[in-house]
Amino acid sequence: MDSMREEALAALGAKGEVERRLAQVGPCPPSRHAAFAALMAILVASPAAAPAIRWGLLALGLVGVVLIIRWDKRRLGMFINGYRRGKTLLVTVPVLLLIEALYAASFDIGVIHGRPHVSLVLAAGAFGLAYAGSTVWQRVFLRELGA
Amino acid sequence: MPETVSVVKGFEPVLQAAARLQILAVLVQAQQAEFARLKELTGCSDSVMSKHLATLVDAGLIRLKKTVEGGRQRTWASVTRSGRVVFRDHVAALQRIVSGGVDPA
Repeated sequence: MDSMREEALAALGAKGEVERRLAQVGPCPPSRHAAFAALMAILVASPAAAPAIRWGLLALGLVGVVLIIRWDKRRLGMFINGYRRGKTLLVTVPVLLLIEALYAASFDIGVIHGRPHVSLVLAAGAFGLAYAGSTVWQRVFLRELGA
Repeated sequence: MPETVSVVKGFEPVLQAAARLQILAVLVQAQQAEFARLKELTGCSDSVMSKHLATLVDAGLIRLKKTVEGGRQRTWASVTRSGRVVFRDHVAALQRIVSGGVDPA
């Protein structure tokens, strides 16, 4: 039984060790946080644009997501999904709900009430929120991995 | 690991090799990881990593995808849904063994 316990301890130790190594690889440069924030800002700003440009901005956002995934894969040799299970969901869900609320407000004020400049102000707020959310997400992720 | 361990509920014999447990530990965190990154994180050689990946694929715990980037072939690994469950149960079994609360299957 003792050797069984020792072997189990060693296995859990090996798991913890690789998670710590993963955490050392994981940290993103500020430009990566800014890229994510820029995508969120584009989404929130899009109602300020004319309808034809609006669809172009949304398409640009989708292309941006693909480019970020490719950038991560090239930079890290892996892709860590923001929607991963774990404590990071406590950051992901509120940030996305707030971005959604900002988009709804931007659409209401920018399109329905015809004040597109307010959409741009909300987009700036979305950028700040997404940047902060991304850095907090990373901190929670690294802590979860025992870094 | 002793023979008796394999009858502990949730214990997965395929994950008895530390490197295979480590590969799954990375893949449950990362949606996809490249062969070279897995090799670096686990400290395995090319041939050993290939064998471990093949074993995990055969067990249905991971899937592999080959891509060509910049003229070089790359192998990407990702965990399957059942692989995620098996890993979670295996880690729980290890934790029960450590805490002394082993319940045979």
